[in-house]
Amino acid sequence: MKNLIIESTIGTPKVEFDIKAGSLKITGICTPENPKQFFEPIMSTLNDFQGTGKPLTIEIFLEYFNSGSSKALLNLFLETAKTANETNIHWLSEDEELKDAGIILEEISGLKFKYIDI
Amino acid sequence: MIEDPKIRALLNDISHRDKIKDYLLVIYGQFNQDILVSAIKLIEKKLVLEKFPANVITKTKIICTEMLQNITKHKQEDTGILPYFIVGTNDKTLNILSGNIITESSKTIIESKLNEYIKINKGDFRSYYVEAFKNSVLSNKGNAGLGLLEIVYRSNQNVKFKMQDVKDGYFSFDLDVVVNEKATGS
Repeated sequence: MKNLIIESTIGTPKVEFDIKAGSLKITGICTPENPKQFFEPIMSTLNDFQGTGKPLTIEIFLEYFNSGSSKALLNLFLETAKTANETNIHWLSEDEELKDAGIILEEISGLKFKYIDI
Repeated sequence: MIEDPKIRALLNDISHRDKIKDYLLVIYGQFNQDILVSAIKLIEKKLVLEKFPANVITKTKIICTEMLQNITKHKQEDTGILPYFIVGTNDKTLNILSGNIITESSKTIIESKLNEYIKINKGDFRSYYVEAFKNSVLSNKGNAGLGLLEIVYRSNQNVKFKMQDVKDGYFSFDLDVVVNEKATGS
């Protein structure tokens, strides 16, 4: 099982999935034209990681994002909720508008988020 | 000095209708993903200079992203009518305006969605948004059909639109979004 690193581009965030540390970080701007395609390697690595039974910490710090990415993030959170593995979600935000997006995802996913104001 | 008579007429019309005093950004012509990201950066810089609150800037960036992606995805270049995207301010509000050509089938869908979103009571809109978001499906092309909903939600339903028959089954779609009162924030 390999770590996943996706460097940021003009409209996509940096992704760092560290298998050993049990850490997934998504940072930056997230407006890919095809969010499903962008999130595919993340979902695939997550599926592999889930087999380890280890706890996972997901850290999301996005400047802004499109609605498709928001839905892709929800799918990611729902996927983590399928297993009994411990998942910690840290939602970092610079303002109330971004925090609200996290609150909605928390509400729908049924997972507990930790909010960190930057 | 704006030399293109079409864009000059458009700005004149918008100034008159929405009382726009300052144009922060005007794009007329080609739209793609690179232009989208550059436009958002420029808008952010200008709003910071104009001292808009951080949450209003974020709200604006999210709405602009959806409007620009709608133009990029649904543009109909073979009609020869070019899309526009404008961000401007007047004394009280920040206005985002876009216009592009859509097909008749898109018109039916967009019109139906916007009319439904606009008529929902303000107090009920958040739960409607959450339910629609929960039930949406991300297609293989990456569409979840949430763009218009996001625009209406983030603008607190301050959305107006107009559609006109232009030619051969094509329609113009003008969308006017008011983000917020300048002084009060979100």
